[in-house]
Amino acid sequence: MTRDTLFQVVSDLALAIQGASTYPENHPRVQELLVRLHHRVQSGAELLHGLNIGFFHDHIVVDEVPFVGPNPTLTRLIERMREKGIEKILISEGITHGELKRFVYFLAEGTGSPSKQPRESVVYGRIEGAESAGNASL
Amino acid sequence: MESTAQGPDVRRIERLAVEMALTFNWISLYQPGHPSLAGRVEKFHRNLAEVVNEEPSGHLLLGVAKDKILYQNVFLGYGNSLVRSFTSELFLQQVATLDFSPEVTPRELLVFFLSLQRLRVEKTGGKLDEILKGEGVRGIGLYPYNYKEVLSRKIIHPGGDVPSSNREDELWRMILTENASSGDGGVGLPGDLPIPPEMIPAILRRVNAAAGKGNRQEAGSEPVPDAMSPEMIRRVLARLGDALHRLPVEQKSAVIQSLDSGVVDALVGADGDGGLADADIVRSLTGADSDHEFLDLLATLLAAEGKSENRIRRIFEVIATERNRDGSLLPAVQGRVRESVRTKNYYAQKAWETIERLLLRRSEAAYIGQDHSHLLERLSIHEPSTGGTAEGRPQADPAVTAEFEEENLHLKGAGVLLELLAEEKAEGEFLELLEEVRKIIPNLISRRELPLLKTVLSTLTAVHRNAPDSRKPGIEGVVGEMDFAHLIDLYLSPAVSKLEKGRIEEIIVSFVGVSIGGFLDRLLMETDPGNRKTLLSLAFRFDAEAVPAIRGKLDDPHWYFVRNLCIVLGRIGDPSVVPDLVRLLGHQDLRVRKEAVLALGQLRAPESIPFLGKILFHETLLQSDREESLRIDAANAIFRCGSTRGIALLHRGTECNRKKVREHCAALLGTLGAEK
Repeated sequence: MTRDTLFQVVSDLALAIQGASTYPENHPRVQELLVRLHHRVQSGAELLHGLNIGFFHDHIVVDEVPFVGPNPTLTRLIERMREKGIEKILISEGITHGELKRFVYFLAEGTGSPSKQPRESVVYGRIEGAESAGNASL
Repeated sequence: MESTAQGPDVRRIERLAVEMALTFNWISLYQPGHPSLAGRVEKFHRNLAEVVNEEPSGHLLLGVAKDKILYQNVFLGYGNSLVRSFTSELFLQQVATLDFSPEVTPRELLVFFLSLQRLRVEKTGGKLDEILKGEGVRGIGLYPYNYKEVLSRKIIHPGGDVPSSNREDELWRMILTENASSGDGGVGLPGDLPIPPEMIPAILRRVNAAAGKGNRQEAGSEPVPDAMSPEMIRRVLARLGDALHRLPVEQKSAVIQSLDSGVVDALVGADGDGGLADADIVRSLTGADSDHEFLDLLATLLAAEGKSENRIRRIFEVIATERNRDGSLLPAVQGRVRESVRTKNYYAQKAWETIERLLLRRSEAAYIGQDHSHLLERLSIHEPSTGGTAEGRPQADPAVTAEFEEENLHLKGAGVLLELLAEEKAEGEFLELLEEVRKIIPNLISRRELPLLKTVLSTLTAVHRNAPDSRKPGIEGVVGEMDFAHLIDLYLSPAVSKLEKGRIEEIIVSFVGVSIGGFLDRLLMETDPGNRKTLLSLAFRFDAEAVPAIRGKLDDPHWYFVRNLCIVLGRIGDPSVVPDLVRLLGHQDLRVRKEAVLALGQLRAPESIPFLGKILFHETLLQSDREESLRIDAANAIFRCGSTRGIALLHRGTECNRKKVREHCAALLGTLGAEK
């Protein structure tokens, strides 16, 4: 996947969360963003056999590709993730629209937990091992 | 300036970092050759060379953490704006580590600073390390971030441990040092390297063989080459167990089964005396597993095994018995049996019942004296009707195997679940089943399993109808949670087939009592006129069940939405909405009034005639065409309502000032006369 395609994935994720927290659920803008995001995430996850998104300090890494330049949309997304204690998201192949929508609403509203759903294709949380890197040195 | 563990060396590095940032700043400000730059790089080089020479490794490694520098295990330069700016530039070039070696020259440093400055200004997108290599720089090494390793780490749910306050530093440290150590003090130990899953069977075989040799050595035989010490075996197994723990259960099962061949090999030379070592190995490998994980593994092994004298399987029996000493494993197995019964997964039920029987009657002593292979073989034998996958065995009929495919089983499982829900008498069990139903609904929409979705909703509605009051809120909650917005979105999507659209329409119309909320929201928000038209056509199929929700929206500030609701109410034909429509005859927007008049005409409600009459006789001096048209619509509505009073009003209408209204009333009365 190209850098641009990966950027579109996180950019659409940020826009969908923003849309979900601003507009009512049935607003066509939200539906349109979710459909587009789902399409991109699904094809990305299929191509890469799972889509890894990391949130580090003030930059995002999608499948090893970092997005470090200043971008207000991504900055808000990173802040949101930090508030929720999310450092990594793993999206599996075959994610359904419903699963993605629930996850986006979880991020937008903070209600519920998508991981409690059956067959859930989104796993998220903090990265293991960082706490034990306290004494690691170069 | 921040430094978490100040010491003389660290302060010196800190000064050097500031000097480096300052030098870069000067180079950024002035053209090459400017007198202000004279001697700056040389001075920095002298200080750098001194520091590099004092480093034990002969290299000065500086980690770049966006706005600060990591030296050994200390972050430096956070409070200095020059250092922040310099490191940010390096970060934007994705430089994770700067490596200064003793060969670095002032020219190389100048090239480094100039190249970085050029990339900043020109934004050509070149790579700094490639530019330096092209310029022949040998004394400065640049290493990129290795996000792959960091992102491949396991995820801890945010609800778990509370992260420490300096989480950001921890993450940076992990990113910058992940190639150097695992962070638990074991720098450079081979045991800390991640073990690729493909290598686990090979390492296991090696350990297995070494363990066998070790046993023979302990038994007084001659020294055996390549034997591993028990401590080494223990450590390797601990690492392997950790690596195995991260794998999916099927992969884990395959790895453990691969031990079987290794065991046999090891036993050949050990006169069958290798059982203890095997059990220990398996015990070590599964030590980190919870009871549930262990049971999953055991079930997978049982299901996967063929008819053979399988030692691994028996070892698992022993370990299962050991784990059940405090009685904790048995309840979990019994829970799974119940679950299998409920979901009518007979194969799983058989497997779990076998494990249950095994735990109930088995002891380690019994294992030593008895052979339980018959019991387990029963599970392994393939039924003739289902055919087999091994070579030479007859293949099953595709129609039969299709019945057992995951999707089919899923559909049937859902059907059974609904059946059980409808028949369940016990309150606790009912709620449990209802929760299961609640979980499957969102995926039914996503996967467009529309017939099943309709069945689920029908069942829930039927159950709700006959349920006692205590159960109703639960059922309503499940139905209310359904994502009709998504369903409507699918209905409007051009990508959905006509057949599926028909099914969606059936669901929305059949369950309009619950779907109406989502429908009305979408009707209000929809910007595309074509989609609005489609939604209105769909609404014409609604019945009186939709009326309360529509009535609740009649005061919406958007005139076009209220107008559309009037159209829908007219088409539904429920006379209970007459008072609401009459109220809308006074709406400030004429377009709403017009649709309310038409809707009342469709409802043929005689009680609305006086109100329609008011509109018919509403004369003004300068009446617009639209107002005149509204009066004609009112005359039509009165005509449709009929009754003597209506006819009387139409007669009065023939005396109106406006010619068109007058003539229209006369024409309507004429029609009436012709009919008579």
